[in-house]
Amino acid sequence: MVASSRVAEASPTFPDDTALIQRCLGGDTQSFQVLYRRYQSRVRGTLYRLCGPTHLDDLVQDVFLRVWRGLPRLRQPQLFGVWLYRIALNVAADHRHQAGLQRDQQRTLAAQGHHHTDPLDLNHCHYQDLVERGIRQLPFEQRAVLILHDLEDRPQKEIAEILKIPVGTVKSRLFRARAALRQFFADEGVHL
Amino acid sequence: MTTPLPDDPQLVSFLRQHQSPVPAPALDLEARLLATLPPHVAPRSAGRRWPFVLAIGAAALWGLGQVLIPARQPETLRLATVETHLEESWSHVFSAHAEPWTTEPLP
Repeated sequence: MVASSRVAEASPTFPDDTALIQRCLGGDTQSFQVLYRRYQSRVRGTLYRLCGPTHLDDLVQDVFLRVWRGLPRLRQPQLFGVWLYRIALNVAADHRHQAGLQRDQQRTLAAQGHHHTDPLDLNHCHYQDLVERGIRQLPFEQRAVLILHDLEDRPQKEIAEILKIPVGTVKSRLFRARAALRQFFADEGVHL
Repeated sequence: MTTPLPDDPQLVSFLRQHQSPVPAPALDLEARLLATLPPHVAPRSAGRRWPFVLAIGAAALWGLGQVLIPARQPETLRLATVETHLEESWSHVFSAHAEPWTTEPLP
């Protein structure tokens, strides 16, 4: 299966996810720690791009708490990666509903001002800000597909499994997201 | 297998080149997470459902028995009638033999 092969690619280390999950089900928190360290970076990146830096730690913690609680109901441990992404997107969607997109955008921009203080690379900072704003102005469904596909290299079939939508819908959302981004950049004076 | 290759390389390259770095997590995030893990509650497996299934089965059998018992009553009544008849007949025979001995002694 594509998804399982991708997950295997993503986590070639030993022990594999299935073995770790079995140990977690026995209450082994050290095995869960290994899973956390294996995946937290990707989860964190996805959540950051979807939700911004506000509450990022809380969101990551929420994802892995849901993972721990949901492990006894995980029927296909070999698809752990797909399942984990699905949880991360659900957490991001919940956060979006709770916090409100507009307020988050403002906080994101304010937080970014603290992150990029190098005066020698203002042009790069400008483009970073542009990319962030461009991605954030996309509808959540398009943003999720664009981030997973274009920034995190997930194949379309896996994205379809994560979001539980047909591959054709993934393609159409990706197409619309890119078109909207191109238009946004053009409106900002950046022509690719 | 679907191809992971981007089909809008200029746009994708621009996005990747200028995406913001992800902020580092708090130093104690991992420790906090591990400290808040609740104990696992095992899911209801098929094996654990057996007592429940057996209880339901027993209750169903008992209910079925309650429904069928009235249907057996005529047979029970017939048996009771036969028993009464036998007892009466036996008593009659017994009393017929016993009567001469108990009423008047032989001269």
